[in-house]
Amino acid sequence: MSSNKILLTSSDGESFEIDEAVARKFLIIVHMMEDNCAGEAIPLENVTGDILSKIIEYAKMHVNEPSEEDEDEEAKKNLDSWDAKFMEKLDLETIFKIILAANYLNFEGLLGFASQTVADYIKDKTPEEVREIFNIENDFTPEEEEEIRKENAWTFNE
Amino acid sequence: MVDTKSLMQASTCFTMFNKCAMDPLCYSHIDLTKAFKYVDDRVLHTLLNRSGKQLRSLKLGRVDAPGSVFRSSCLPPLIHYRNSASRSLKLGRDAPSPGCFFTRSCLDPLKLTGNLLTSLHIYFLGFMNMDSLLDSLSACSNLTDLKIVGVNVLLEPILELLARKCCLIEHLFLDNCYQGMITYPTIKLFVTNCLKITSLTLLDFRLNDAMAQILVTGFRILKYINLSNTAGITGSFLRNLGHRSNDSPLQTLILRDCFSLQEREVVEFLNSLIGETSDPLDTLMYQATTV
Repeated sequence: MSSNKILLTSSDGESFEIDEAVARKFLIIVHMMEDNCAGEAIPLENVTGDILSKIIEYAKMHVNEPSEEDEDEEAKKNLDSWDAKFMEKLDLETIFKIILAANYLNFEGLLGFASQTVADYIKDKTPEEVREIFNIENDFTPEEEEEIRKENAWTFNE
Repeated sequence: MVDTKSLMQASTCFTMFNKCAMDPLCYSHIDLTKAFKYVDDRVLHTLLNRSGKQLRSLKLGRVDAPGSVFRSSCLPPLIHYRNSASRSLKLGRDAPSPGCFFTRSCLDPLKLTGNLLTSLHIYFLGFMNMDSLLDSLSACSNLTDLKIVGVNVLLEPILELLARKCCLIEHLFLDNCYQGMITYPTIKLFVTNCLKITSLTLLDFRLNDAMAQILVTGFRILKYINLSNTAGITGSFLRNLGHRSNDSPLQTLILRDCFSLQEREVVEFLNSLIGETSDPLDTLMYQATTV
C-alpha cells in the first residue's frame, strides 16, 4: 500500500492531510490525479471544513469496503452499525450539506447512504409530517391540492 | 428510495416534490405491499404507465395475509393442525383477502412495461385470470426473481412459461395454494432451460421422489431448495444426492412438513454426508409431522 499523502483544503481554508487510498474514494480527486492536476494542495471550493471533516471520517472507515461477496458477515455488520451511529448524530441540515458535498466530490457510497437516510425520513409519513420535518411551505392552490389528494386517495386511507 | 405509498404521500407536500414524483425513475421499484387495502387496478395501471421503460421490480398484495402464518417455512416452531383444520384453512384462503381490489387481470400493463422487469412478487391476490397472468409474464423476459404466494392459479403453466420465455430466472418462490398438479415434461423442461436457478422454493407441490431428484440434481448452480409441504416424497431421492454432494453447490435443503418423509432415508443421507471429508451442505432442515 502506498504511503502517499494528499492535502485537501476546504472552502474556508482548513487543511486535511489524508492517505491517498482514502482520497481515492472521491472520484473528483482520482480524476485530478490522473490528469496530474493534483499539485501540493487540492482546493475544494464547495466544501466547508466541518463537512469535509465528517466526510473524511466516513471515507476512512469505508476505505476497505467489504465487497458484496465478502464472507465476513461480522465485518459487514460492524460497518453497518458504525454507519447507523455516524448518521444518527447528524441533524438534517448537516446531512443535506453532506449530500451536496458527496455529490461534488463524486463519493458515490456516501451520496447513496446519506440520500437514503433522508428518504427514510419520508417513509410512512403524511404530507403534513413531511412538511414539518423539512420545513416545507405548501405552495399548492386549494384546487391543486384537492386534485392531487383525490388522485392519491388510496395512500391516505388507513 | 421509499416505498410507492410514501412516494405518493410526499408528492402531495408541495409542487417541487409533485414534479419530482412524476419522473419515471421514481417508479423503477413499485412496492404496493404497504398499501394493499385501497390499491386497485386504476392505481396500479397509473403507476405502471408512469414507470415507462424504467420498471425493474414490482411488489403487490398483502405480505402478512391472515392464514399465511401457517404456511411460512421461516417460522421456527411448526404449528400442528389436523386435516380438517388444514382443509378449512385452504378454504378460508380461497375467499378474497379483505380489501383486495385488484381484478383478475391487474397485471396486464406489464405487457407494455415489463420488458426490463427483473423482480416480481405477488402476495395473496386471490384468483387471477390464468391467460392474463401468462401473457403478462411472457413480456418479462429479463425476470430473475419471481415470487407468487397465495394466488389461486395453476402453477404448472407458469413453470412451463418460465422455461420458454423467462430463462434468466435465478430466484423462484411458488406457493401452490391452488393444489394444481405438475408433470414430468414440465419439470424436465424447467430444469433444462432455466440454467441460472440458484434458489428454488416450491411449497405444497405434489412432487414424488423422482421429480424431487430431477429438481435437486438438475440445476448446476442450485444453492438453496425448499420443498416443504410436499406430501409425496419419501426421501429416496436423497440417496443419489448423498453420494454426489461433493460435486453439488447445494448449501441449503429444506423439507418441512413432508408428511411421507421416511426417517430411515434421512438418517442414511446424513450418514453419507458425515462420511465426506468436506461438508458442502450447510443446512438440512426436515421435520416429519405425525398427524
